[in-house]
Amino acid sequence: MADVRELRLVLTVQDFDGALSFYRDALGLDVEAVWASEGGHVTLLSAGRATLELVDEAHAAEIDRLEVGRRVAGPVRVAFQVPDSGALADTLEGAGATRIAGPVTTPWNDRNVRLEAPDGTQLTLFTPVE
Amino acid sequence: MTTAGAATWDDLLDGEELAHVETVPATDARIAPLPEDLHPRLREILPFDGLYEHQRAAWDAAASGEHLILATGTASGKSLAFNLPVLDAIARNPKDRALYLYPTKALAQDQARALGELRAPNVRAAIYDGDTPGERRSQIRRWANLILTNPDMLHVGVLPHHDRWADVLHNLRYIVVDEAHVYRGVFGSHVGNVLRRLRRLAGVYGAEPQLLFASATIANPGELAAALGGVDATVVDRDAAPRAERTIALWNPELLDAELGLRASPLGEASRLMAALTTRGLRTICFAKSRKAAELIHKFTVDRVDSATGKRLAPYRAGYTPIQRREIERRLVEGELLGVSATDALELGIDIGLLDCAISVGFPGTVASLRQQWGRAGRRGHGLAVLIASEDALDQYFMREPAMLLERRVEAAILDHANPRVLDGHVRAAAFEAPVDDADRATLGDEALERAALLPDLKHTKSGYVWAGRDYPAGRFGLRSTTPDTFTVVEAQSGTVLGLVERERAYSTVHEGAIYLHLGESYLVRELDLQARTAVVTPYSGDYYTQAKKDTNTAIEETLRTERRCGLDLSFGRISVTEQVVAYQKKSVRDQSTLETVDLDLPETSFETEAIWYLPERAQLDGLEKMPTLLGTLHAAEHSMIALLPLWAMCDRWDIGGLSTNVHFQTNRPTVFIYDGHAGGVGITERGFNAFEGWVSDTARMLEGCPCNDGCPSCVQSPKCGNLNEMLDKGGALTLLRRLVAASTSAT
Repeated sequence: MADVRELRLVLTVQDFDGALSFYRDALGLDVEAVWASEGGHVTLLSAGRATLELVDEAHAAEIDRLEVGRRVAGPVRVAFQVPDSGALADTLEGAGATRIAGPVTTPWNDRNVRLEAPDGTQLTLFTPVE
Repeated sequence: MTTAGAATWDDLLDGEELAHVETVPATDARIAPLPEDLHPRLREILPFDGLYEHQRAAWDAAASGEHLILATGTASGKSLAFNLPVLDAIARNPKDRALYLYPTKALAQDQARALGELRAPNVRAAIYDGDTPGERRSQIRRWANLILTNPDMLHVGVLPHHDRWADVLHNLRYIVVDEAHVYRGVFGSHVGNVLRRLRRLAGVYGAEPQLLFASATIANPGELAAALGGVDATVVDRDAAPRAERTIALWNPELLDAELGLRASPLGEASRLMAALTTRGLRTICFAKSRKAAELIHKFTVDRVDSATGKRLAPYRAGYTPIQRREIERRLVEGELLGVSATDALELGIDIGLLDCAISVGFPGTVASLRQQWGRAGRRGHGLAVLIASEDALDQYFMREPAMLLERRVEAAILDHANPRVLDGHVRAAAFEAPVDDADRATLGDEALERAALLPDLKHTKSGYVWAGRDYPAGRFGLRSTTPDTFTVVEAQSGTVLGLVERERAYSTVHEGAIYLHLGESYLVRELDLQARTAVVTPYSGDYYTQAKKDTNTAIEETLRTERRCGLDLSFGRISVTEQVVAYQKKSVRDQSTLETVDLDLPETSFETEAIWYLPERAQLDGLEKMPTLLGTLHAAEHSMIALLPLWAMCDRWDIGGLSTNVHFQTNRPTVFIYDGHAGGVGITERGFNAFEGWVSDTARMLEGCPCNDGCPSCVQSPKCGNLNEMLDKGGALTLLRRLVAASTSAT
């Protein structure tokens, strides 16, 4: 076992309030902590279990092809497992996200939607299909 | 009426059903200047340059080192009032710490969001609860200066491990207790002890934190602060927030059969009103007591409106995920949704801001809850708040006596931290945390020291009473019941634990075949396992409810007070109650008719509790002394008084029991007992003792006004009567209670 206890994804955003209302309110992530530095602000949101998925270029291209049909993602993409990716995608669109594609069912039986968040981060919402 | 809003619904507020209507005029805010000494950075981030007077009063009290309880209305800015002193302290000294207590995770979450948006300097706020991962916990203890948690976590997760919390306790400047009125009854009695343990340990680490309470409007805020925290607190209850004009309507469904007390369905009336309001584009929330009722109101309303309006209505219930809830809240706030029917269990956690109309279907049990629900109406402009009455005695009483609901403020939040069934566990826990000695009387209270001397698992040493057991005592009990002897209610399909039921209530509420109501959802009890102490339930959607039949006996253990009141001997003291549940009836939800009676074979239970009992004088029973009139008279008086006690002491009538007898083996006289249904008692009946004259006179007025002749569910019949409402003499009870009232007014 490694000594790493937590994977924390840190997003630096231009529009802090906009990002709060997107990730906290629209996506529905609970607040764990809030704090401030000199003139700056931080909100830590809990987002379930974190994992780090490493893929090679060929697999990334394959995921893009399955979810979107063409190569769109940069080196980092943030994926959330949610109870209903389709419904949540509609909500997030209402909250300012841009839908890139989906929902599509992947060969490993997840229901995926690709979005771009207002801060520019590329998101996948996925729901395992029973 | 000059506002457009009034015109919009005026024509609906008409007809026989309207028991009362009044319009409360708008009031302007009373503004006080920001305190001179407020930290300049806080002054910058506040969006305004004044405070409501009550917020300023809170600031002044906190600034002079006082404990404080705020008891002002919904949306009066209570959060800002207690946040300002805390944030100011932290702005000046980031090492200062504050603990915020919330009764639910959802409420802590709401406050964390609000604090995040304030952007106050130096604040490091974090939620510390059962979901906080282990590795985050030590970080929060070291780093956060504003910690949001709940009393249960404090009890098992913080106080017993205080050495890890040394830095927090040493620097603890403020303890904030929000929604303090929720801490009443058994839960409140436990929380009262948890706060005392916290204050004591803070003292051990050299701190003397100030307590800041915030409560709904109740009759006894100062008493509540004293009971919960063991402190004298300054009461701030003069609400200076602006209020929009509000029309209040009390709506009583048509009486269909006066003798049966049968009225038109409140759900039907609610949907009729909701359909009319939403069709006019008015944003409306409707609160019902159960999920089923909320869903029926939704369905009936959809049936009544055009399809475009129907698409803008939604039910809102506990089973939704947070995301689904946020979505409904957002759509309502933005006006996509016009109408929502919710279960009233959600009133605390619903984040919908301002609507036009709020309809409460059935009195929600406390005036504070009703005001919280009504508080949703008209905060933007003229609002409409409606109570649609159920057949329940208290509801019907309010319909006839609106002033009792709208003007008097007698409802008190009651708890008793010294109930030995509650206290003993906390004394053990305190002794585990640090030796308990005479110096702790100031925080733990005299009773704690008295109990410490009697508990066999404490050892008296030179430094005080210490824990001599092996395990860790706080882990033995939770804060939601008076006894570890509880049954677990488990949903069969998902395995979810729905709740705990104390043994003495388990046999009457979760016996095999019982319909069990939890957070507005109905369940059928499939099996009650006495060995495993588990009730296995499955969701239920049928149309009957159940009522247990039980044999009850009471024995007086100790008389603590006896006074000559209302011309008779009234006593308060400790009694033991022995009960055996012998059968149950299935009753139709539609017309209360009995569908079936089923025998049960369950063991006897007994418990000690607090009670009042009274012995009517011979003259007061003149003409009523023959059987069965005598027993019917006493029994009906007991039921109707139980129905009205929640008006005086915030509690559920299900928390109160009673027994009437034409001759009691100890008093040798006709006697009426009214007792606290929770082992040990939590002060409810003592409140009844203290308010006896008012309680009796309210009850007599209730009986007088009820249109039936021989007794109905709206006066003397009780939904929980162990005798299944046999032997009730309404006329006799009214005669007796009138004689008591006459004696109380003529007494010198």
